[in-house]
Amino acid sequence: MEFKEVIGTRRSIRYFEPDKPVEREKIQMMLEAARLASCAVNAHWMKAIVVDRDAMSKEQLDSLKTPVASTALDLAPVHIYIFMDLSVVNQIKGSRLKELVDAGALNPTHGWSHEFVDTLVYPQILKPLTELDAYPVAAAADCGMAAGQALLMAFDLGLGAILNTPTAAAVTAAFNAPAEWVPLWVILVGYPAEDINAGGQRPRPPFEEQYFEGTYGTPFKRDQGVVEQLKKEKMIQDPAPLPGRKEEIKKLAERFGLPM
Amino acid sequence: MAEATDGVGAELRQSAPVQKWFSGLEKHYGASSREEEERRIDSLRRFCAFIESTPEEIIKRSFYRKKDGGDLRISIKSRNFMSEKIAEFQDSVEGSVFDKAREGNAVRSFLIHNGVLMQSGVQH
Repeated sequence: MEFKEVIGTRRSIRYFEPDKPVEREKIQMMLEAARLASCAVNAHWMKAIVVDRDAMSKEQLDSLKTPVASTALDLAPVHIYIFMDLSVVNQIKGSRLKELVDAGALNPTHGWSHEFVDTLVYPQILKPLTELDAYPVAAAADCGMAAGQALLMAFDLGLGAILNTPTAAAVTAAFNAPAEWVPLWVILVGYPAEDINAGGQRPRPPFEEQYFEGTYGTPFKRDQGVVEQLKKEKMIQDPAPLPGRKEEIKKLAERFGLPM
Repeated sequence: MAEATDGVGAELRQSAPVQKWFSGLEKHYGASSREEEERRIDSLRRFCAFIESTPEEIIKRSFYRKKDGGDLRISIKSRNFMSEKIAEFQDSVEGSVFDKAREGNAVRSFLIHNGVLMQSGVQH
């Protein structure tokens, strides 16, 4: 699938083929995509635990469910639990920034050197950052970018996926995660039981309400020629609900014994 | 909307949360058959008897306001209670796993269309 079509095809899949296994290499590819995401100070806060749903005991799976989040957990054959490791910055102490200097990514042209990292960046910026209330927000933003790439990879591989928010305490307990790993999300993965279009592309706020040019209040003008090009390249697809969506949901509800 | 055939069913059908339920179903899925509506009402009637409550009482206890007023909130305690009672209720139904799920899901649907988000997990 071409890049633009992957972006256009990704949507939250909530109905999975529960008994169709997901190839291990596809899960690895999702993790590889997450690993390559843009990441502030090359810290890589995102950690993940991949879990085969059927390898979990009933008690373990039930412990992760709540009345508001159980159906997709039941249906998805693979769960990827996403954590942010808040200890990482004080473990690596700027060493990954120095790797970027050595790799020629951070250069003296932009003021970077090992000395700068050792004397200023880590002790005066990064270490104090970890003591701020806002620190987890910054770390979570980076984890979100990594998770987003994993999601896109899933769709490129013909899988469906959804980012869900499980109960944090239950996740930590269920997988024996270190205390400094904060559970953020679970990416539920499987082959879609619903049509890959999943009823159509989801509604989004108007472009001009979201993006501005030059200054706040001046909407970035949306060029319809660009919109048409992106439609042609399948990034912008037919909006939901597509014809027959309600019937599809009824059938899925009957198949899986879900309330209507 | 079809008229219920018996007195209890007719009374239930007139209650505000049942009206809201059916209206929500119709809005989302289109009109239901009379048979489907009767079956749903019958499931709700049996659940009401099972927990000795009326539809109004079930919905009323699902929400609360803080003592100082403010917005209506979903009672997590009540939702957990209802979730457990629905599971008990459907377990008590004779029949196949499909029959049991259908009974429980009718009640879940009643709560859902009255604003109480509730999932069942896969039933079969």
